[in-house]
Amino acid sequence: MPPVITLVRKDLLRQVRDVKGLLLYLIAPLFLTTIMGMAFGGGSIFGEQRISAIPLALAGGDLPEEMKERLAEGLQETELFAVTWTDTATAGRLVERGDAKAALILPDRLGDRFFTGEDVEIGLLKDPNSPVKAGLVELILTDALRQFQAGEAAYRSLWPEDDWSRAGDAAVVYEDFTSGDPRRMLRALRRDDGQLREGLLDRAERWLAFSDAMQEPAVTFVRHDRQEWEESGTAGAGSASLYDLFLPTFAVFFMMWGAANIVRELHRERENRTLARLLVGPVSGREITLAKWVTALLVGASQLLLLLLFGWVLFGVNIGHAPLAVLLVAVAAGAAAASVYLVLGMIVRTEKALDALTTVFTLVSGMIGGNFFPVDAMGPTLLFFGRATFNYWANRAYSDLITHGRGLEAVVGEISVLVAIAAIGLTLAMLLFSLRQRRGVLV
Amino acid sequence: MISVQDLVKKYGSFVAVDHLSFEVERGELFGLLGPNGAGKTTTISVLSTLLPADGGTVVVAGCDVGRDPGGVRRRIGMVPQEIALYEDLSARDNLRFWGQLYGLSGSSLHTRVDELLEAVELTEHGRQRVSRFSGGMKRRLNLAAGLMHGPEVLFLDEPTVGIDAQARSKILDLIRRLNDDGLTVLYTTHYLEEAEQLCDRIGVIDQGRLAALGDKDELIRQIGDEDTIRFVLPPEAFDDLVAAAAAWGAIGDPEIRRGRVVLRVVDGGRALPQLQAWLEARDLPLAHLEIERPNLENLYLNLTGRALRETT
Ligand SMILES: Nc1ncnc2c1ncn2[C@@H]1O[C@H](COP(=O)(O)OP(=O)(O)OP(=O)(O)O)[C@@H](O)[C@H]1O
Ligand SMILES: [Mg+2]
Repeated sequence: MPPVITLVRKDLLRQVRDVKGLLLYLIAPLFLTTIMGMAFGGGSIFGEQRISAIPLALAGGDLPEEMKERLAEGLQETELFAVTWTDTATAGRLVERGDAKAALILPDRLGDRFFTGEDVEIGLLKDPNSPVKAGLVELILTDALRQFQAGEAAYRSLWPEDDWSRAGDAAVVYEDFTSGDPRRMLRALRRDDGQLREGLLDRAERWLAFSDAMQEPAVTFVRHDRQEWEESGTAGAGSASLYDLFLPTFAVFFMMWGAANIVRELHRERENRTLARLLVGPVSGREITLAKWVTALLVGASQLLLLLLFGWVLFGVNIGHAPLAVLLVAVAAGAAAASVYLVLGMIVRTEKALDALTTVFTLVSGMIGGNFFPVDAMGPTLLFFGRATFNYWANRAYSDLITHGRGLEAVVGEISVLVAIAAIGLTLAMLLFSLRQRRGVLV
Repeated sequence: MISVQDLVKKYGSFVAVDHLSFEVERGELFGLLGPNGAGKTTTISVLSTLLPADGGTVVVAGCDVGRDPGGVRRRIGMVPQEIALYEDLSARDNLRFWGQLYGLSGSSLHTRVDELLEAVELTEHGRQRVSRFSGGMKRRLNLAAGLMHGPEVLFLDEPTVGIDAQARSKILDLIRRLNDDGLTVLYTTHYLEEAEQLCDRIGVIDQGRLAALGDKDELIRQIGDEDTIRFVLPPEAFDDLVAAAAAWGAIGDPEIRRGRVVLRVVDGGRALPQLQAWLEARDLPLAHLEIERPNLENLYLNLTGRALRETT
């Protein structure tokens, strides 16, 4: 058997025998994913395969039916909410029973308040058993309201004369005019002596123009920084689940730790002198480095794949359509991770130093490379730095495959980058190893 | 089989091995004896190609360590001072691994593993994890791992450190047997008794320099041939003794140390009857008599200024 295979076999055997290590690097990520699943999935592991719309109750506001419907539609269009209109008391009960994750209690005369610039206080009831979902509701609505208010403020500062409260008979006309019912609008205009009609039409025109200009959706869940987002007709933000967004980046992140741990073994072997024994034996430094690389690759890639597989089975993570691409990315990512951590392992002298370096490196790379949030949400500055990390390319590949439902051809670029990083890193690590071996610093 | 000429090895500016020279014959069991920090491990590391030398030439089994490290590596076995084993694997898996690395496979690998487990008396524990082994068992397996490929020369770096007398004698027996079968052994230790019992020749090393070299008798001759006689004498008789002693071949004047007379003589066997007669004539008893032949402990003290026990 070639020495490299003997070495790899030995390392893998040790991994398997090391129950604690196995638990930590294979089972712990699975466990954490499950926890994450429970947090987003509402308690049941197997129940909700995809993040469904969050049930939201709306009450109060004494708005015309038409407006109620439009508001509900607007909220449902985001695919984040399933909206029910009800009365205040029922809303409270719905939240209590958990049938709604949150309820919004709108104040009386909501429409008037908005248009006359009075303070608008909206009551928010949150289901204490679903803190994540309820929190999400609060977050999104707060953001939406802020945008709405900003729009209002901008409009009023542009056309202060349009203040509805100073529009004479405004209350009546406004009610008919905003009902959306052409008959009522017509009636309102008929009653007019002409001046109101002109004024209203002017204002309506301005208002429509303004809101067209502000057409950006009020609620954005994921920012569309990357062009491909719009182009992909198959899977937009709507159909991707939170698992599709987060599980791959988590899996890549855990894979990084797993690969780093194998490299750490190299230092442990140096410290307990088995490395000295190897160096006295019939293996070259290049073979020892290569063997550690292969082991780190195998462990990292299988960990990554296992986690994705777990996500697929339990949460319906979208890997079924391109299994080969998912596998290739995992192998390329594992190879890149193995190389990068081997180089790190070769520039420090002790396991302790490597531990510290690896921890900082992994956390920073994870942060700027898009492991804590979807790569699609990375701004241009972050993207600039993120591209320098190897994990960014793995995250991006999985974003293409899983979030956007694309195939192998879409990730050839990312795979190439990963393979290049792997090749350069491995060569460098081998050189560093030989250099250190010749200088006798490895024993 | 091993030839070391003017070997120098430095760590930065610190000289760990200082112009060391010695030769080891084929089939010899050579001991490198020295206290902690003497440079034993450093020497073995250079000889086994782990560390580059800073000066001198080293030839092992016909191969120069600097020019043909691969050739050296194929012919040597090394047992490091530390337990260099994979503790999370079984004894058998450890031996299998080292055997496979040297190209053994199939039934020859299997047979070799069995043989060595048998030799180090670990057959029954073959499937047990090394982490559960006692110190003595680990030491024996550590030795076995260096023998898997049947080397021509074996470097043993303090293979008995930290284990009890019984486990130690098992290891020493095994080394003796291996040497009887023709294996050349370079054995380092800081235990004088081990070197004395086991080795054909001993090099005493201290602060990186060779302080003495030879078989046991040759070494002893280096500190001179004097015997030491100790006994208790009433103090009033001491002055008379000083006057008489010169005639018995005494070296220097007798001294009193810790209440006893210390008399150094050329030949204890001849001086003793004369001393006895002298005492009888004065009606004095011969109490607490002790005769000490020259030994390596004295030699070692002379050479290194340190008692071996202090270094353990
Ligand atoms: N890597 C190193 N860097 C600097 N100094 C070292 C290094 N290794 C050993 N030394 C020093 O070189 C000297 C010789 O060390 P060496 O390990 O060869 O001694 P030794 O005879 O094997 O001792 P021991 O009986 O404790 O094993 C010691 O003073 C030690 O402190
Ligand atoms: Mg030593």
